[in-house]
Amino acid sequence: MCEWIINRKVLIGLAIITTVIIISVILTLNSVEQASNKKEEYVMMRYPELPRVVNTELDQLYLKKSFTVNRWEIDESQKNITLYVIFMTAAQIDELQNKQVGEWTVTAVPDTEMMKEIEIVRAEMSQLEKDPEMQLATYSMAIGNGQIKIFVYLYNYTPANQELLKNGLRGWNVDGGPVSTPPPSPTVPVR
Amino acid sequence: MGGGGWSNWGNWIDCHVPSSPYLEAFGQIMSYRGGLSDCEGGSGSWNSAVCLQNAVMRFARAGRSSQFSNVLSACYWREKYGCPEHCYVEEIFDLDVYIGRVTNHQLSWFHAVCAQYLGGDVRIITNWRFFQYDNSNIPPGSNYQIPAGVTAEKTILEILEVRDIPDCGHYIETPTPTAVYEIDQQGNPRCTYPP
Repeated sequence: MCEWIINRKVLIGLAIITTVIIISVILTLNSVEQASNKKEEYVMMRYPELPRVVNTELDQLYLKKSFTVNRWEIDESQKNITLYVIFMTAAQIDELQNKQVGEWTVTAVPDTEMMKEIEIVRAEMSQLEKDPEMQLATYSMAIGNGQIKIFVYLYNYTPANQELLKNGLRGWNVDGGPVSTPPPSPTVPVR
Repeated sequence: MGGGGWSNWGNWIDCHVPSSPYLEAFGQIMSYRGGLSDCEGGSGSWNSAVCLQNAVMRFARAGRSSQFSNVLSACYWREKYGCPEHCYVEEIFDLDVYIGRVTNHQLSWFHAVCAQYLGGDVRIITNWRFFQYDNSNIPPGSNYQIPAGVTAEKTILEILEVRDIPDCGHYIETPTPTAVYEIDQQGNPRCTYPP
């Protein structure tokens, strides 16, 4: 009888420990899942087509100054990756010369072709900003993945800027519209 | 500081002094120009500043802008005619700030704001704080700056990472947004990216 009671207590104890372990595992898995939804995890894989170790390496470099990997070449057999970059500083490029990252040898080179194209586009947009027919207040550009997308803020629609929106610039997409202005507000009290 | 000159000295009393990261006391900042680097003073004529330049000025002050300080330390803004000029980076608060682009073709609404990432899941809109002009905490979907959509078109709010600042009046963003929200006609935002 006594032995049966002891065994029963041991079984209850084991059941409690097992329950605690299961709950801990569930909570841990849940927190891992939540963490994976966080920006930090998302930002780590800026270039999902590249190996995770390379993304992690780029993320470290990115903390010093942001840049764009515009395109890349991957040699699976030799485990070589060449990154064509824009906006990277010389120091950042130097850090990625035949660098061993995991099983990969990574090299960064400036994407001179894209950099030239960016300068040409900026020069043309600068001219358009001075053209009264364009009514162009300002613009922003999204650059990467071999693409330039231009977003324009206009003072008013005109035939000239509607042509730009329709046809793009040098083959690049142009989107946008009339810049929004705040409604009239009462005078802010003087501090 | 400089800008206004002796003839405008009497008007400076109507000008605000920057204190918070968000520059909300200034409302819409009216003009900007280039000048000497290291915040040593602006030169040349003033340019009109629209929402995008206001967002760049606020990003420069509130955000992690020191990586662009070679350009931004030669950029100056002025609240309005007669007020002193301020260097874009006279103070940097180093917050995690992005640019928010708000578009709705039906409403003919094309606007730029700043978005401060507060941490957590980027798909949850309350993890972002939007600011621009006189509002340091814009509620998406219920304020004119980030309006609710209409039947024919939802308002699109894209949160964009600043990749480069080539000059005082423009910025370059990443090809892929950090997050995208659609705001319906009731003003409810729904994240459509990342999935």
